Amino acid sequence: MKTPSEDHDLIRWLDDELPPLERERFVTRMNADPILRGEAEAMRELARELRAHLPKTLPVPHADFFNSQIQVRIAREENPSRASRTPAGSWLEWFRLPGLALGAAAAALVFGATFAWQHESLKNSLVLTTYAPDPGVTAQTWFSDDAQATVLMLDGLEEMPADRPLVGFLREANAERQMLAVALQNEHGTPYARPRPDAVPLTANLGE
Amino acid sequence: MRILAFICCLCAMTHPGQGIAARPDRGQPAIEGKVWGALIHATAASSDAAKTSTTAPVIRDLQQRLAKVFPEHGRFEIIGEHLQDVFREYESWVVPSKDIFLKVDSKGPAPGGGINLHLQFWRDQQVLVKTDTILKPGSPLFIGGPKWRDGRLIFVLVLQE
Repeated sequence: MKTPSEDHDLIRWLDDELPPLERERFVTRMNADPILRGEAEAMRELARELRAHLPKTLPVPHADFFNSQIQVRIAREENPSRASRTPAGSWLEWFRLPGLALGAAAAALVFGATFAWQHESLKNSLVLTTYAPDPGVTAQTWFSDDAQATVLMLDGLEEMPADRPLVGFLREANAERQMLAVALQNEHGTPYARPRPDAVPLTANLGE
Repeated sequence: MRILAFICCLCAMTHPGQGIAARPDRGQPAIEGKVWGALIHATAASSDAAKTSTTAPVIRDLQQRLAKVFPEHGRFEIIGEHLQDVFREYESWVVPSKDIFLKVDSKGPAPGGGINLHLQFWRDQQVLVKTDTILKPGSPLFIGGPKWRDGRLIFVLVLQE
């Protein structure tokens, strides 16, 4: 178990913040301690991986919250008697847990990919969750780049009977007089319903 | 519960706006946005198709977009369409057809624009799917619905810009 001061030196060494004399002293100690050297190299490798896979600059997510937390920290620093403080390097113990370095790197990669994807999809509609009460129905969702549309595809639905007419409406918001039945024709050309004389026919192809 | 919801839906279809008018003390309900919904019958391509525009201000190139998602179909025919306000406090119903329709519940504005919505896709008295969705202006949601006759029914939902 290393003391917090050693942790502090290690982190400062990783960040290249040690003055020359202290740096030399730390390197000497590191060369004499294979365990410490192993840890230092592992952490340096982790830092290199993170730098290689994360963008150079990232906008701060939830900046308001971030700023407020900084202000809380500043207030604690200015009035230490009111704050419960933890040893300076204690959080670094996390990095010493076996496998956590890899996990942290993977999490950072996932975060970076997710952030990039979210940034890209800011302008697109997004399906967050789906639930089909009928267990025989499956719902798949994706974004079609070609169509620039979000798709929610339902499979396994019971087919609508072919002889069942579908009646459509033309309705505008809060305009109740514009409802009408749509004339859908069957295979013999017979309409199921006739539109009102003043109605706009709806059995039309979409315009190009 | 389903029956109650369907009755509400039918009331909304036959007496639109009256559910809101029954609360005069609250004034006009707050509106988050306006959505356009359409029920479309997609079938195989037909050369004798007439080319007419829809009656609502819709997104551009809707037919081409649909054809890219549903390439097995070439003809897209509107069965019904509905332009509906999305209320902040109340549920809204997008009912382009009495057979297939959509319940829309606002969950508030989405960061960066658009609305967080809870949608329920109904066929008659049955909920086919429930979904939480962020709908962005001008970015359509295509719901591939049940097959009908020689094609498929598609529900298109667009948040107006």
